[in-house]
Amino acid sequence: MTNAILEAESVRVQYGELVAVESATIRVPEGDAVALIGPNGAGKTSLLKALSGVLPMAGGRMWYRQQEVTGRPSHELSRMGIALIPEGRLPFSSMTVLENLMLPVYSQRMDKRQAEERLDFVYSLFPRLKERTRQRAGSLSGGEQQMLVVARALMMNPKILLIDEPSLGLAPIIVQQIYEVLPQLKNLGVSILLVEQSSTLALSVCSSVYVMREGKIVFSGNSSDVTQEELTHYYLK
Amino acid sequence: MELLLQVITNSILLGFVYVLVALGLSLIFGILHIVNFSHGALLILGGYMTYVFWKLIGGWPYAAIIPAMLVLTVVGVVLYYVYLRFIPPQEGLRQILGLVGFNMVLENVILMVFGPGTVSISSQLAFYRLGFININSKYLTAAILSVILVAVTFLILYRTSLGAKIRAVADNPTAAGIVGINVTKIYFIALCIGFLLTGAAGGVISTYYAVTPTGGIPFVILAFTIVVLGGLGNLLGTVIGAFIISFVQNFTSVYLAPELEFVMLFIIFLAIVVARPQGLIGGKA
Repeated sequence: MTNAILEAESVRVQYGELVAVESATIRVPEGDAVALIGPNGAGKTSLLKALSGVLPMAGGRMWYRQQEVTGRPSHELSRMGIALIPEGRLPFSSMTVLENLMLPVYSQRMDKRQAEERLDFVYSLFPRLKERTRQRAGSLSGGEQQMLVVARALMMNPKILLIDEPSLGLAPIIVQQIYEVLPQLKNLGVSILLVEQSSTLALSVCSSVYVMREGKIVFSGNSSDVTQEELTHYYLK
Repeated sequence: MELLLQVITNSILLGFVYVLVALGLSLIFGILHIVNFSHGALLILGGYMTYVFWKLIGGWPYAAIIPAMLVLTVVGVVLYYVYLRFIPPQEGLRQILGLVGFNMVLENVILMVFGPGTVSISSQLAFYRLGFININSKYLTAAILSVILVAVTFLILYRTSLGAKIRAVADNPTAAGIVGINVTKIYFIALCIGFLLTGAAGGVISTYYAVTPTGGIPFVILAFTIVVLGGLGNLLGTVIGAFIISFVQNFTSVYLAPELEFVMLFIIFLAIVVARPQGLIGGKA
């Protein structure tokens, strides 16, 4: 068994009295792509937010590369190499495309050469952004904003990407472009934890899968092992 | 013609000062989402501190603004960390009432310590002739200081990596954390910059205007009208708003009646709040 890059045990997430994640145990092996799927309201987004430090954990522990990181704030986890690509596209809309991309450079104190290399890399993945460097992020189309948020996460030189519903509300052609990037990242050694409501999309890039329902993990296994019937069962039961 | 040029000159000079007066308010709102209803008393505290330091160290009165800025920063930081931080940001009314209360406390402390009279920092008043117009030397110095302070603030915000982080936090604190920005630290820095500017504004005011314990009221009205006019949290809007207000105020005072100055400002304030609550420029920049 390969080493895990990210492991979380019995994670619990609450909004006041409301329990969003009751108990979730999840393991992402180094260099792998793992899908986290499940119906709307299952707690997938909450779990991802907890794993990236955006939401506090009400219980449970987590480890990054065998080091315990439970309770660390998001900026520390981000600097360690855990990059969240949040749902609903959150670029810094009042800032330009280039400024958005440079923020991780500033917060990680990258040197100039490193920064230029990263910038060339993300522009090669999303040439559209290169044409728009001076444009305000808020004036980009939805698809371009999603590209920018993915590119911004890649600027951090992440070791693991936590991606929340990248396909949400986007045209199929844009979804396809974004999904073409994921295997490339995997080939570069970046691990991925991908949340999707659409199981077909997620399973197309991920080798293993967790299914979540009502705040709990109800299935885990290889992507090839889950049948359509089983999925339907988890989504509809 | 001569009068017109004179009014325009004064409007421009005071316009720069008004940018400084409103900038701290605008910045603290834009980044920390605090509508600082104690801005008035804090401005005046800045003025009194400048006076105190000038009396203590003597010399060029404008130099006393620097220690006054530092005192105001300490007061602002303490106010935030021992009080404001405990009021949830979504409870705006509690925050406003708390700050109005603090404003009263501060005004009365100043009254107790300094008495009800005016204090002023005397430096030689001179008039420079420039063609038809007279330039008031105190207005000129106040304007120059304001331009420098505002320019430095904008350079920090728009030309440095720290400024980019501050703007990112203002735009979206959650996303800022995700890209590795320590949001708590940025809040602290923004708070310091905001109160440094408030202290500086108070100091600059005290060099051309005799301050009294309740003398912050006209300036806080100015500042709020400017910030509302420019759009809350919009810094470029604050600059534009400051000049509009300065022109309106000076023209009203000279061509209509001095006592209508604030009536006019309030009419603008009320009209903007009803018709264009996002400000003339609108949105956040």
